[in-house]
Amino acid sequence: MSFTEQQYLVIKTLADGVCPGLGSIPPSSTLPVADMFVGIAETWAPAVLQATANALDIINSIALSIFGQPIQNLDQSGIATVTEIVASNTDLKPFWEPFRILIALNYYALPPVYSAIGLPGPTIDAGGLTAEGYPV
Amino acid sequence: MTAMENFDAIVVGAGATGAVYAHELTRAGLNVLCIEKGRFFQNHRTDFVENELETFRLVWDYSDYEITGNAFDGGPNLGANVGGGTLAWTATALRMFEHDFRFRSTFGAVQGANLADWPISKKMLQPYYTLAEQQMGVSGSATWWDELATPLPPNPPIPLYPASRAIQRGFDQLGLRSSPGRLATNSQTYQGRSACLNCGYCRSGCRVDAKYQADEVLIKPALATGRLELATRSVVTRIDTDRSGTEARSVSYTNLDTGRESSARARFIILCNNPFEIPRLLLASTSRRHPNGIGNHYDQIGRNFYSHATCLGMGISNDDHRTYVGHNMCNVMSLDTCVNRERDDYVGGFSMLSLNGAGAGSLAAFPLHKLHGIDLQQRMTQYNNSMVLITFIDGMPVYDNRVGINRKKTDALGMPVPTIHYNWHENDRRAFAHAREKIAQVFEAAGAYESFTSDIFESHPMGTMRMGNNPKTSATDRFCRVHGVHNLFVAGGCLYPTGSSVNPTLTMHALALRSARKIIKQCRNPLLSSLAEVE
Repeated sequence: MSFTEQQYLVIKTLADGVCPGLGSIPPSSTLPVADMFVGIAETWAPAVLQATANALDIINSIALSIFGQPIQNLDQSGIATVTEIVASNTDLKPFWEPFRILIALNYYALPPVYSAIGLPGPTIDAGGLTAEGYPV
Repeated sequence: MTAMENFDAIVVGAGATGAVYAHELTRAGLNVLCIEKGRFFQNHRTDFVENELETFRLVWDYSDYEITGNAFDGGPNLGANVGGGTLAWTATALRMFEHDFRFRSTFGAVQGANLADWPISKKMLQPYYTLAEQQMGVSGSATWWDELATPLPPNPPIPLYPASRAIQRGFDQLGLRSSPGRLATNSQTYQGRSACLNCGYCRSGCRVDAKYQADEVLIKPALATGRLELATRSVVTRIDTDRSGTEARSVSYTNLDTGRESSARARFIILCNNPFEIPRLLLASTSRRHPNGIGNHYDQIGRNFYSHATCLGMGISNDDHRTYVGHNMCNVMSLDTCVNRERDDYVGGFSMLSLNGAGAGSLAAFPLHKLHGIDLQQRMTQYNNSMVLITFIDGMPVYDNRVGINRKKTDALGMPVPTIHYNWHENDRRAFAHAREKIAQVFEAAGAYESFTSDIFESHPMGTMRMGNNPKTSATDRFCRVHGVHNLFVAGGCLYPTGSSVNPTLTMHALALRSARKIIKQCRNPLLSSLAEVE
């Protein structure tokens, strides 16, 4: 199975709930983070994938019930509210914990993100770094 | 099926220990077949990429496993290619403590745990530790915890990074002794390999081989002897014994790319394919003599599984620590907490090792696990103001925590799928609680104004093929042979009756050296009918 278009939009928007833009740090939704998540999730066992899809539908239904709109139409405040509900919902824990880990690992490995928080990225081809952290 | 080839030895898995066997045995003149599931990255400079996500390309995939219990989360610890875990490891290379080999005698019984002493002493392993350090190119200085007459490693220590100096101040404030870590990472050019360039991406595979990586250091020289045949992208599906069941005769294996099935025969068969796949293979290899799997007469294969219960912490200060710089683990360490002297609610202890380099995703995923949104991003902008510590806790082996197989469900090669059942022991949780508190104390003493710690998670899977003298309570003997099958050896952390609070790889390497040299002695003197006679 693969995710529906709406489920994909929930992934993309909820990823913004985990990693929104801040200052020079780009929001998750402007980067291929959701696609990276989908690429990994589609290798999971069918039962796990189905459970993930179900959780995405439930999350969108939470947005609909509170705001009357699908999650992708919410502003940052609305996304933050839904994210908070998902993060604190015990029933959604089996979805939330791996989702959050995968989003975080993929997001902070992208050059626009790690550069914005001060990591230099690859340095070997330029000779590496001194032990004090400066270019050689 | 092609004609069966004959070798002196077959090594299953070309990882951290398989490489040791391949290197030792070929250098001694034995013809060796090494069968490896993964790829052979022959040019590290171009094969590896400096990115945190690259780790996952190098580690074992558990997606086919059936997992129960509350403790196993498939952490990225085991390797999946030639070189195995040494491609993705952090290169922390510590000798275990003397008390680790006598854990049961030292600490006594613990309810619900199945503790045992090792069947060998540290003294027996010391010369092999020294040799392992030389092969790996370990860097470091004398430490507070070395036993008398322990030789220094071959390379001087790597300088302390800014974040490590801050952590050291925290240790000092608390009266915890510290020292530069012992690293299988070159502090200077060593045996033609580069010094560490401090890039921060050890876990993605070292592009300059400053970090010890077994494929580069051991497999390539073994291939150069002309006596090693390396079959990559191949999986061993079965081991067969002779009619008596006391001698392993041959292995069957399948190439994953071509589907070609082959068999090979050898005088010695050595299983180096991780604490899950070794029991899986033995349990799947049933026969009239071994109806429950090879060596499983007493239901010991796969039992006593455990790991290092682990805590990862992040302390944020106002200082610029340039946390991105450096090799990933153990630039500075304190091992004072490896024996619990502060509390009476648990036995064992935990190591405290610094983390440095490119680990933004890991920090966001684990110590900051309760944060999301702007709260998370605000902390992540302070990455370079952070100190990071990891603690590895003596895990408790528990009889019912085990690796098994589901005989009703097979994979694409027809092998029963592996099962893992793993629950934390109460001692693990109590030690974790102490480790978590201690991390926060160190950070506060080091000047952090805020600190975060992960929940408990597993690192370094161990047990499942316990060494011991009694086949009714262990799976392998003191030479790492499967009980009752005189030429079938096992390697890796699966052998450990108990696991210490330090990283396991140096000990795995030393144990493999010891057993490999015993095999060589036996080969050179066929009159020796058993390995016991050459100890």
